[in-house]
Amino acid sequence: MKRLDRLKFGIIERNKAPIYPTIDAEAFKYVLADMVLESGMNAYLNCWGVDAVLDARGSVRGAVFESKSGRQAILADMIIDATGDGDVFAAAGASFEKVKDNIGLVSRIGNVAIEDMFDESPKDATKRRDRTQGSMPTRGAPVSILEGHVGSPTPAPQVNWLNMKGPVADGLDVAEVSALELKHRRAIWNNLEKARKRAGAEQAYLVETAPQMGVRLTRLLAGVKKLTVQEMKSGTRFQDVIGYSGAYANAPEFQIPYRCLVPEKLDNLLAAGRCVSAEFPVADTLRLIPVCWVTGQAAGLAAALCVSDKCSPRHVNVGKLQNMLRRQGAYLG
Amino acid sequence: MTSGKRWPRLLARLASFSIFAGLLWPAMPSIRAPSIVTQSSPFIVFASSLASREFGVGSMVGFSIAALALARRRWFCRYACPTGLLLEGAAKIGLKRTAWWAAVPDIGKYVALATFMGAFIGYPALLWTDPLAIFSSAFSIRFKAISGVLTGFGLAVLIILGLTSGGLWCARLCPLGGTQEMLASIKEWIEKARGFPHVGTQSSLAVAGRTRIARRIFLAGAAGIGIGLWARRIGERRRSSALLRPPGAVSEDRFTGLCIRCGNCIRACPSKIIIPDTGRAGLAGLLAPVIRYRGGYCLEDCSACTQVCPSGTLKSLNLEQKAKYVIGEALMDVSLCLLALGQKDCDACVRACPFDAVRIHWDEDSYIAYPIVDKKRCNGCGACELVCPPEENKAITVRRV
Repeated sequence: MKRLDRLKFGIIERNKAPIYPTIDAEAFKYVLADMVLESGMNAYLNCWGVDAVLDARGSVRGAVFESKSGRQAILADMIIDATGDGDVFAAAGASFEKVKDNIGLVSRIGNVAIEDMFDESPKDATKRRDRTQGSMPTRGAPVSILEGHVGSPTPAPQVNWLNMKGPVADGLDVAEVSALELKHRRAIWNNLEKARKRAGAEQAYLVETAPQMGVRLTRLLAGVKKLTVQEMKSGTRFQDVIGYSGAYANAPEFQIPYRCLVPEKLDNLLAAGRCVSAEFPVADTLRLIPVCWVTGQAAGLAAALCVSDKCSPRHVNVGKLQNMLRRQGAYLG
Repeated sequence: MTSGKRWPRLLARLASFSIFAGLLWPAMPSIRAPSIVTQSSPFIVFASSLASREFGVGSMVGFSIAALALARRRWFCRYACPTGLLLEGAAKIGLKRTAWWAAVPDIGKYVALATFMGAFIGYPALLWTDPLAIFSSAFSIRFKAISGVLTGFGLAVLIILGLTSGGLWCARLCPLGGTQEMLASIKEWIEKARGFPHVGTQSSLAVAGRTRIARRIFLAGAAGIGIGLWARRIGERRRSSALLRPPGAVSEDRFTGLCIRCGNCIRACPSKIIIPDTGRAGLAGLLAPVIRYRGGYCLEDCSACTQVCPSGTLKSLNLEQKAKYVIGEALMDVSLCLLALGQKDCDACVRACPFDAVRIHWDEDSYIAYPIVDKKRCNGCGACELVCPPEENKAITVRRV
């Protein structure tokens, strides 16, 4: 985030809770590339994790992926499944819960000169309320057909980001996701044409649609510990905390225990990101990008510890892990 | 009064003042403690019991004080009233110490009478003029907002009156004093009826005076009923307005009359969402409690406000009853919803709802998603309104239905 802060047109809406920041996707790609290059690690891009390599005892010893180079495998002392969908742990035979969530497709629209509702003065806000006079609130039915959305501003001047929630669908069903993607693309274009009828958006154009569909949740690992809604709401504290989620809505920030990253039975693998072990409503918060960073950082350090201490993930020295996290600036309460 | 009697009386009044102030102090461990202050007023317990047709256990304090007032005229004023002590202090340092108001009739008695008559039809219009309610209300002062400051308005007016007009309030205007006068008159009437039949012995002056009093009594009673009927009609019309009342509230047509503006509910609310109305319900509703979901919502594990109302304006509810009590209904204006407008992937209202009453609906026709509220589950607690991101123009708001 600090790197993004330093970039021109990198990030906006910082520290404006409950509104979350908006980053420029290209700026973020640059930041990530810079970090990878700085670290000196070997990275393989544009690969799909498709399988796991297991040893005779059933422990994971490598990941199989496909790319332009064909099907390949990398053997490793420790594997971190950050596929989001738990593709590797599923292939390795770990238990998981399969869920469905909304799947949309976000896009960016250029040449939009319509101000965001958060930047308008109170006077403007009153005017806008006047425009909606007569549209009495209802129990959910649209008061008017809302057409021609232009989304909200991004750091790039006159470029807006347009969200799409999408319907609930199976993110693991390629036929369903493909059909949905086509419909979404058509809807995005139709919306653009309607948006052009709005003052300030006459010359709007579609900058891009997201490179991937917005799949939210698919597989949730059955971990040593499943984080529950009750624990989330009550702010339960854990001995093996590896980070916090951010506060959202009325729910305060909550601790994430290390055990949520560790499969119930499978060895030599850790999960990170949206597929960690949690009940659906909790996972719906854990899937948010900054929280994925939190579990990702913890999984990375834990994997390093496993290698250096020659132990399995379930036997990691949690105190040592927490110290390492703190040294890197992680907040553990 | 001799100095020998003055000091014990002053000490009694200071002790009483300390007790009343202590009961209202925020650090008091019992949530019901503040109610005792206003339930000590016979004026309040008579009128509110009449209006609500209920006799709470707490009212026994007021009835006991009334019983003593039967025996000794205005004893509460002389020895116990905390507001009276403040006003006496103000009068001592004030501008006028001459009792110019001696010729003013005992308006307090007629205010009390009008209120009792109004109470018969469920609307004791001037109940809020009780000095203990005014004293209690001043403990709700918050300097962050105009509405918070206004809670001290009543006491400020009385103190100004004390500074400028000496004992006018206590001697002539106070309805609690008037109630005690009426109680003392009952005793006198009984005594006279027993010992002095008065048949054929009344002077023409006495008869004229009695006729004048009878006229005043009639006019006060008629005014009480008239104001009550009028105010209830206005309240009936306001029933569908956006005004939200705290849980357990009696119907809107009676609310503004029965509420004594003591501020107990305002102080009891941990979320600080109950505030005094600054006029949205008209003049009749001025300073009566309304709910505004800023900075908090009506917590599912709390029914504090319903436990502290001394006049029965807010019926006592346990947690289960309160969860079912409908304060209002969350309604969506989709044209303001960040999710529906594609501005943010916001589902704050869904996550915030303690009753799972809000869910996201995907509208295939319009190709937008927006929250839907399940009327059966929603009790209008305001959790959704609180978290709806815009400061103004919130997409989801709780409305009275």
